[in-house]
Amino acid sequence: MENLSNVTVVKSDGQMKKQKLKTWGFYISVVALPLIQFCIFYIGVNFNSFFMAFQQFKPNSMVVESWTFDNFRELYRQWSGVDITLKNALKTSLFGFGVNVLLGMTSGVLFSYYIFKKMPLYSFFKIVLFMPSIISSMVMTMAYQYFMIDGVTAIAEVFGKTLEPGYMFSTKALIGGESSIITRSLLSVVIYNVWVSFGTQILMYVGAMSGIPEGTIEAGQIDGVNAIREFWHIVLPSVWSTFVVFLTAQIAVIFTNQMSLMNFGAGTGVNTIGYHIFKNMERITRKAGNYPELTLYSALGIACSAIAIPITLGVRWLLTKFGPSEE
Amino acid sequence: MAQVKKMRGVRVKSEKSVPTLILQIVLLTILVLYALSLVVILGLVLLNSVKLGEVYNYAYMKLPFGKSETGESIFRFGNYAEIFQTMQFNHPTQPNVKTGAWHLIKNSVLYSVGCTLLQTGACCLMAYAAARYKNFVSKIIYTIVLVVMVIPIVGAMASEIKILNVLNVYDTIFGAWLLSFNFLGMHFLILHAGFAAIPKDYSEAAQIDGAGHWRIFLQIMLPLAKNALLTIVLLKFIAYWNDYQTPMIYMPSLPTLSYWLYLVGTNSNVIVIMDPEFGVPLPIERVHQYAGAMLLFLPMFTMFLCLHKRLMGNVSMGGIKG
Repeated sequence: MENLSNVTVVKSDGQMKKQKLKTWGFYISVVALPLIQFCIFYIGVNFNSFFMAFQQFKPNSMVVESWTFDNFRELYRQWSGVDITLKNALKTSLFGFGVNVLLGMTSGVLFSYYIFKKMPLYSFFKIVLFMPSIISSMVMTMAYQYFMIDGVTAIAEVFGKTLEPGYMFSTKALIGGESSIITRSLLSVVIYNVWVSFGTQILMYVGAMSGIPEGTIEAGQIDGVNAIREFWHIVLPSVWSTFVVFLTAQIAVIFTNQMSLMNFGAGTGVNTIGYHIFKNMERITRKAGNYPELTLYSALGIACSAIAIPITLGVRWLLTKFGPSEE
Repeated sequence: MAQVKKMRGVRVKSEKSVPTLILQIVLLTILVLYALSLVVILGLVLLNSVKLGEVYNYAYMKLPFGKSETGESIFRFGNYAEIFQTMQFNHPTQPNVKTGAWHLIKNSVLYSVGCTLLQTGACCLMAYAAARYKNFVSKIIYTIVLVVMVIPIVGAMASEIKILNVLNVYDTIFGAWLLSFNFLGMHFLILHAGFAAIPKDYSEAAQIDGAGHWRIFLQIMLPLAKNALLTIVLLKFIAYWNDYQTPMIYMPSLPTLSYWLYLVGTNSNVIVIMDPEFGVPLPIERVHQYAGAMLLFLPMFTMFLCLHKRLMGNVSMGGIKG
């Protein structure tokens, strides 16, 4: 027997069984293919990635020749040797993450408050802030890069100063010695990443803020709180869980974030772990002779995942446990 | 400055305090500067895309009007025709690959439309199943999406390439489509919330009338989720249309328009413009690169202007009548 919208429908056991079979038949037909795809291209890929880290391929192919720790030995050699590529890539990845969290994410919450409170020109800003997410990253990078090279030079000339060619993308260390990553080029790339993601960061929190009960805001206004106090004591705790989710997502992509370096081309002298892996994947796929190198980058991926996973989960746990709560 | 607000029938006079005003002014100033930076930088790309190359070299900020020192008109639409020619190029890694405007557009359309429909379809199916059919599999599906968002996996590209090779779909459009046919990500959660919010009355009424599960899904649930679905389709299409890295790695012999723009933007030496008079390659100038950027930017920007309310709108579902 089924109660459907206050109408009692009497069905026999056979009919009920048939109905249940039809329901399961529909359910399986809907979920089967996506689940199979998930099993192959997520579970299968990640297991295979783990195994590949311990394999050596035969020359010019992806056929397994042997099982070995050589990939990790090679990684260790690259890490601890004279070549500081990997070390600098790691430092740059962490630097970019730090700037993004300190500048991008924290200011994103503040500017979201502006949009949420419908302050002057908010609807115009919503459109402008959304634009970078629909424009091709190549267009944005090209526009920015040539503005920094040609536009800054032209502006400097107006003030009577002559800059050397490519001034804003100079690879000379600004502070520290030769191994320092802090160059004008890095700062230009980091500023680009903050500039291009500024709008997306802001719009992310507007949705979360719109979930704050109106009564809470009104009660605060009746009590005479100003905007700053309202933001700090009401809005920020209310969107804390969203902030934690996005911060966790940023930590999760520390080692995959390329900081748009593929778009800038080879001349920046800047490198991140994500860019290092992608650049080499692109080189490897150009010809079959490079395929045996795939195992080395699987090993690098496994090593980075082994570091990133506990940090991501740990930070998430800490922020959820010790952060402000809505109560 | 006093504002009189009516809240629940009580007239409350709220004054904007000095700290609030200062905060508002500071935030407004920064937002105006940000908006200006976008408009100016992208505007300069448009202005320089129709400029004579030699003038650009010493007058980046100059408007493209008037004549140059050699008497030539500064305004030059020919940059677009010249950069359009470069869509026929010798592929840097695949010597037998066909390029040219038609092939680039065809590959771009196949890639972006196919991947958009498949990924939206997978998200929609799984979100509907997980939201409307409460069982242990639905719980597993929902948990998978949340866990995958949190757990970072690095460097799986090598493994993906190998698996696509084993399945014999590497470097094919089918391989790219297969990779995109997944339900992971924020859009699953959006659709899940949307489907879960639809009252059961709709499906129960349809069941009483004898509709099967597929009919309920296709003729009742999908139309109710139309707004959210269209927004997701548009956002995904834009993302896939602009993506050059996935085609570069997973279908290198099927170059897309975005890959062509990557070659133009990074001044790759495979992109050449032939001098019509002497038949020799000319250097790619910045003005050509800007023209190439505009060729891809303007259609997307036009679409955004026409559809920005849809793209930025919230998800909403229909109501029950009677």
